[in-house]
Amino acid sequence: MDSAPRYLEILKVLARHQVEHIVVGGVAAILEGAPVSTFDLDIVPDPAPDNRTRLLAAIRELEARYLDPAGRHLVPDETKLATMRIHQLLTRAGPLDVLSTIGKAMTYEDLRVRTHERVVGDLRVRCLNLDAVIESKEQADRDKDRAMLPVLRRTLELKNLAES
Amino acid sequence: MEKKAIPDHGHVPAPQRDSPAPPGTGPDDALILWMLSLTPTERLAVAQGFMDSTFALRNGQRS
Repeated sequence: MDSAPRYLEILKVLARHQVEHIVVGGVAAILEGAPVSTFDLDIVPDPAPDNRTRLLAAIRELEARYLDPAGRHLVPDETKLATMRIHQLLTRAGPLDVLSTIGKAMTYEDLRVRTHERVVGDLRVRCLNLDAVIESKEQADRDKDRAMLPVLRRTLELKNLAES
Repeated sequence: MEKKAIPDHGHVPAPQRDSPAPPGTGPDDALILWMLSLTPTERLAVAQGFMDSTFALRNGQRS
């Protein structure tokens, strides 16, 4: 990757194609106020077939291809989107992970009730609540998730204090 | 390249010096409180600015 990811550009394309999705992971944490950094924009899309079609159009516009260690040029299609659970894509605006579940198998439906809309520029972005981001990272339990957890937990504490 | 629709991170107000001092270990409360004081648009601009600077450094450019 030669240039910095452009999160907003990806979000704009998803919005233009009316892709129903939830922003999760590091970017969700950032939108919630956590001072963390991430290369990837992670989303969990609505798995409905018509939404999958819109998602495919959006990621094609973004010139998405799979991150492939062997260097093959593999592009997403309807079948892959319908059957694979994790899509680690590289787009012209940076990495985009399209996930069917996060944590220990939390689906779009599970997550939808733990989101709210955030205004980002001229977009309305559905974003996973910080407590759910923390839970997903606790469940994922990878080194990079564990490293981020103290900042996320403290952000949630300070956020709750400010709102009480 | 598409023009940025979010404010340049240089427009985001800097953390206040009278914010609580960071503890000796653990997360930096002043930094967190500063991020919480921003709008989501500004928070994303901060993250974007950090990434832009990181890549500029990596590529040997001036940010």
